[in-house]
Amino acid sequence: MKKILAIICAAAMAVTATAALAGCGSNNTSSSKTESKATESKAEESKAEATRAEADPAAADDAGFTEYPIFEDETVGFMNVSAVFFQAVPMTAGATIKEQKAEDYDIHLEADISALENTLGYEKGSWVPYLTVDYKVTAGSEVKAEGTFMEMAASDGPHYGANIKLPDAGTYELTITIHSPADNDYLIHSDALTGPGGTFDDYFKNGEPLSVTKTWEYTGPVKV
Amino acid sequence: MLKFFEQPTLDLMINAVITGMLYAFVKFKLNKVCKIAFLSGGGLALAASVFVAVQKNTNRELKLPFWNGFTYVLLTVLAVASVALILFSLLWLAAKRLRRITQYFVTAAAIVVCFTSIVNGLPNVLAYPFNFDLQGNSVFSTDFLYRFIGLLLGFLLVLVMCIAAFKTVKKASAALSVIFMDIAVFIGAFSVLGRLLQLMLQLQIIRQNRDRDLFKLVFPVLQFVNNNQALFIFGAMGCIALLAVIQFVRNLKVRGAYDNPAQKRKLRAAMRNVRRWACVVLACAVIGIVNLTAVHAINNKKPVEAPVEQCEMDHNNMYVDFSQVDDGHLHRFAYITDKGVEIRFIVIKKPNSSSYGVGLDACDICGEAGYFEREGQIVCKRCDVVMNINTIGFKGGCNPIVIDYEVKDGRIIVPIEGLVLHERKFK
Repeated sequence: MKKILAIICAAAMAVTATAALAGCGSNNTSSSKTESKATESKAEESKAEATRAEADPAAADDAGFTEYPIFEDETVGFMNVSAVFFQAVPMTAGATIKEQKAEDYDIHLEADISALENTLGYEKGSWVPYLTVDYKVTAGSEVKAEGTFMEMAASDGPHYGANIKLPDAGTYELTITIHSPADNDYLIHSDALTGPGGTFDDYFKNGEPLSVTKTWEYTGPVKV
Repeated sequence: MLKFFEQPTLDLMINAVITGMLYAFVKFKLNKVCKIAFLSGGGLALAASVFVAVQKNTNRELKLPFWNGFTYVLLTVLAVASVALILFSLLWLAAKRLRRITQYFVTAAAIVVCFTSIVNGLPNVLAYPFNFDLQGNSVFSTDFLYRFIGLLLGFLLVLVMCIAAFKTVKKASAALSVIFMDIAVFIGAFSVLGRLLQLMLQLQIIRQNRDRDLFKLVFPVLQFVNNNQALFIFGAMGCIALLAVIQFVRNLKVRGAYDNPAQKRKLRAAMRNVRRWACVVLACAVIGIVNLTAVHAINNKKPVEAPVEQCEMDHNNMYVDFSQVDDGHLHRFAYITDKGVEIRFIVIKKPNSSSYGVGLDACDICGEAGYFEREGQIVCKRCDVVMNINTIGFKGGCNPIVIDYEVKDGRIIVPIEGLVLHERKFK
């Protein structure tokens, strides 16, 4: 009787182990296959990554986290804007601010902003620096969260983001407002020889910021 | 302190009620084997909770997807076992002839429910001391002590409720025990449904964008359950409180037969004991409700902004006395320009220092948003970044914009001319 039990246990463990290994193997294979599809421009790459995360969560999970898209590839002026969220993350700080603890927040909200074809000198697909990016999460007329993103870098590159408190699941409107880099005294060569040919006024008329608003079906805090 | 007093009620109250009720039922209504098995399961759950808490806080190899998968399996098993427990216990109650067999099924389901609910809730509470934000203070500080006491009291409340639930079910009839136990188990299972659906979305078992019809079906359920967790805790506490009231009323007068006054006294003492534990249940429920309403409201109260204070002023300067700002808190002052623009500046005495941080109530990144004080920290109103107080007064980053000032004769002297230069920052 004991022997039979032992055999059953061993068989069960073997099946479990095989299944686990097979699972890992298939994840790795699909991950490497998907990775090989990486395209040239960063904008296209981020789009592919978002699609990949949707199609194959394991590929995104290999990096240790999955980004949940809010909206993807919206054209705002000369920029491609995507918004994602995932678990709140600890962030080491510069001299002026203290380290942020993930436990104090519900999610990390992030705007990925890359350049499209433009006359400002930004390389297509590259991250656009020196922006002031505001976010506002509303439910009807009630503002649930708002603020200004910080500039920061993660394993997938630099972005604008913030850890925020948004405890309740619900349908929200997310508005991302992008101010001109000129507001932060970002300069553009203006001579014919070295200048890119455009000015920020070409996109930010009279210095007015650009914005995009999308509906967001938020499923609640992402926590361990 | 209050934040950590609230947390165990949120994380463990339903589990405590269910565990107390289940153990009383298994111990007093089923046989000894069932009791030993249940106790072993409980012990295993405690050990597993400690293990999970340690792994969650130390093992960085195990990332969120792993824990999502782990919790998903745990909650799925909990939900299935809860349904099984309800069915088996009703069968046990209805078919007396089958009790010899059904008691084992009931015990097995009860062990799984108890194990999964404890392992789901307890590790978070055990891990709280490791995540106290001590703002640079050591674990031997009063900050740590207050938080720890808060957590301990919260845990004690839950523990007392567990024991009181056990004592209440102990003396209840089999029928009452099963009915109220099943209601509590149902509430417990329903309370994790939202989290379970959320995990199915996060693990992409349900795909938000592709399975639109299914998503539209589950989203309102997820939203209701996750956003109203307090209701389920009230429900579980209400369930045991109602049983306690019934038990209290039933034990007011001696109804059973007795042969002599000594037996009567014994019966009365037993009934008094039941009534006392019923009162403990009610007291715990009341504290629990206060915890999730009044204490919760205090914990989530928005910090009050430091008002704009008056200080001495002449045509050239503003003068802030040290005595006005030497308490280590944030102080705000303002100058109104000819155009009616209010230019605010802040002053704060730096910790463990005799120097002061002085700057505009605005920074280069977030503009005129300004700062507020939260639990002794200076926080940007716009991006919620916590400032390093020691660097306030220096240029750069998220620091307040630097302004001219000098310290003389126990006063901070701020030239108005320097403030007006920043008029454009304040609209």
